[in-house]
Amino acid sequence: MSGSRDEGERPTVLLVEDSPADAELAVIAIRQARPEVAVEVVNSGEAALRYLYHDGEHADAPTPDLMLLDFNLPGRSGVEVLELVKSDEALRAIPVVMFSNSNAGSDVASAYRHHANAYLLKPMEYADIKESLTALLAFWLDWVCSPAADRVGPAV
Amino acid sequence: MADPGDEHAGRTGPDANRPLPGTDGTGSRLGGLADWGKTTWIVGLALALTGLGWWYAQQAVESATAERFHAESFRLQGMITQRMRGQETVLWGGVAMMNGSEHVSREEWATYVASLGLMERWPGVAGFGWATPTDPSDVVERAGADEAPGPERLEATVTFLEPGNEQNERAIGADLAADPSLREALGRARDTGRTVASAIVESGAGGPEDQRWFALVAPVYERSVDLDDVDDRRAALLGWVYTSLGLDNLTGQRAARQAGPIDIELYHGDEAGPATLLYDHDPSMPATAGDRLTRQITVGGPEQAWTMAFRAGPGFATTADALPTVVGVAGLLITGLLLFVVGSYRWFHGRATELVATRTAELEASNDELGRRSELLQAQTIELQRSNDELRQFARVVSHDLQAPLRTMASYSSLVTSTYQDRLEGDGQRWLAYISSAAKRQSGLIRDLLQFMSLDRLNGEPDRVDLNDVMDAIARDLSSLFVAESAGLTVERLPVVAGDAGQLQRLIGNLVHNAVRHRRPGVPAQVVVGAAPIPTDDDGGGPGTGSAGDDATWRIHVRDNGPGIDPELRERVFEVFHQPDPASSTGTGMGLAICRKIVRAHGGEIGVVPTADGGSEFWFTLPTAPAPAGGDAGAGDGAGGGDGDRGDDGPVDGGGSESEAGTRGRTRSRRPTVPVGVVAEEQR
Repeated sequence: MSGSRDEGERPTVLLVEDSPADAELAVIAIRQARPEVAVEVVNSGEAALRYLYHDGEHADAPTPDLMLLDFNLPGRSGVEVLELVKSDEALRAIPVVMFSNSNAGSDVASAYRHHANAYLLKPMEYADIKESLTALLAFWLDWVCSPAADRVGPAV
Repeated sequence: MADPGDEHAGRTGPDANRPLPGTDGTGSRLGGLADWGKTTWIVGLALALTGLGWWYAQQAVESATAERFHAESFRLQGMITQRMRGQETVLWGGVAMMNGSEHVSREEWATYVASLGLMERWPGVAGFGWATPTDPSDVVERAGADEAPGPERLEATVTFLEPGNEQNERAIGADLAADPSLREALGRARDTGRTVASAIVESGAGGPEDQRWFALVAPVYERSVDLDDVDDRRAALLGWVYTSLGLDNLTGQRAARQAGPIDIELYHGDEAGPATLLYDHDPSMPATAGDRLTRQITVGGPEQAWTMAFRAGPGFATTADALPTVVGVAGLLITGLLLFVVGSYRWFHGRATELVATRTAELEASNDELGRRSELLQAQTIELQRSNDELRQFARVVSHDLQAPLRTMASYSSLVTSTYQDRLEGDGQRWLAYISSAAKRQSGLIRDLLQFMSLDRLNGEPDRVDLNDVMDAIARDLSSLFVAESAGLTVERLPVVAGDAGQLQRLIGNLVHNAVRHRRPGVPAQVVVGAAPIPTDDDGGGPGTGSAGDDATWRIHVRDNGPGIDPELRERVFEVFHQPDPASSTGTGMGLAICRKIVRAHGGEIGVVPTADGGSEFWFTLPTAPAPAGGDAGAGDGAGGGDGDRGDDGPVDGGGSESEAGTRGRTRSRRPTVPVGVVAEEQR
């Protein structure tokens, strides 16, 4: 499934989530579904931007292959982070999937207005969480083409 | 007049210092003063004109009266003078008679007097007589001596006196000179040789006894004697011819009648005074000297002068003389009228001004009130907006922050359950399931509450919503439920309505969901969704024609074969948190309340009626979408074709097929029954 990537290089998912419980749940689900995926967890919008711009401790951090962005963040909100990412030429190609506790119409519209790649309501059941994440990773990591040279499409 | 400035003083607000156009208080105050000035001017002018008119009229009348008086007095003067001259002439006639013969008998004298027609022609003449000095030799006076002792010795015996009536007969033989006035006149006549009028005789012989009188006396001398001086005359004196004139009717009836209201006074000599008064026509008339309508003239020579005085009495003024009074009264009346008119005008004007000021003040007050209310409304609107923003913020916080812990509870419960499945007892697993379901239930409750709160009105303008498409989405969403409950769904042809697609999907979805869940125990639910236009007055199409006019309303129903609803509860099922059967329910109790809110937000009504077989029919009304240019306001044409392949897979239950078979003949494009079970299986 990850044949298109260089050998030994693991696909990286950046998880932006302020709730430790939600973050851990997502990490557990991803580990169970795709053990080879590296999950980087940051707990705020500012931290996410520092990571993306290789600031400080993240100097050597790899550019994520997928961003899981909580809609509701303290400080810089999820939509603000989304807006910054999508307005940056270098980061624009990173797929950003918004996760939210609310499916209120205005929230969803706001996310897509700022070019979110997808908007998901956080499931209540662990099984659903695991299922949605599995499908999500499979789609974005395995099937979707990226402009990066080493990501040219599904390895079939 | 009320001061408009005071009205303005109480005003508040931004416009307080700016009077309304045309109601400037200072202006009207100055106008009022000017009006008073004008009034004074008008009245003053009217009074001045009245005075002037009165003065002119007075002048005219006075001058006319004066002219009339003068003319009258001259006429009277002429009359009297002529009369006096006539008397004199008559007297000289007597003198001539005495001179003409040696001896004049009493008969001859009587004949002469009778021939004069004295009484007829000379009214007032009481007698015409001849008096002779008793002893002419005694009457010798020194020249320059005082007259007083002279007349003492003078005697004039009345010899003849005609006409021969009783009183004249008695006077014959009497001494004329016994009276001082007569004595003086007799003496003067003797000494001057002229005719002399005596002063008034109060009571003396030789004249009328019943009245005051005077005498005209003329001397008769011996002929052929030189009468060069007083002594010659005294010596030559033969006697006196005299007439006695009664003062009561000196001027005669004719003169008196013609004099009218003019008083005539005749004085003896050239001085007018009580002592010399001979005749007073109207003694009651006051002798006011200096009156304009008075005239006094002295006629006659130095020997014998007459003074006549004429005085107009109060009756002299004629009716024409009332002109100044008429002018003055009329002028005053007109002035008063003018004052009244001006006053009335001023009063009405004042009233009107007051009224305008009052109305203006009222209008301003009401404007202010309106302004205040408008401000209040604005403030309230702002407050409401702020409150709405807060509510939105609150809703956001609730939806995100209250949901998060619940989701954590639910997801971790399920994580524990799945991770430690083999280590948990049956109780442990069940208890974790309780936690999970409670968290999920509350989460749903929060979601429904938020939605309920946000449904008060439509978000923006209503869209054209094809309910057939909406039903497709609902059928897809609820497919697993239909499968789980072995339920059947029949969808008849649905209209295109005006509204919000998302809300309408939730509305119908809720009703369908309820219809499936609230079923009779052991009896699979059979749900029918259909619509019919409600005919209106201007709508020719009846039910079943599948189309309605632009203004038409659609009645959409969701019918089930469930246990039905207790009649008492039919209205209450739409209330918030109403749960008909709490034990068996898994819902939040807000479904129908949300439905009602959505329908009302669309301007429709919702209700529930029992069906023939004991089930329930939930119905609601929606307005028809306005037809687009050339479009079909009825059912969506694409619905049948698009869903046809799914329909071909076959119905799930027989009930739906029956319904479909029963209606297919009537409406060609009627939607087929949605085979939810098959779709659901495909999705799996």
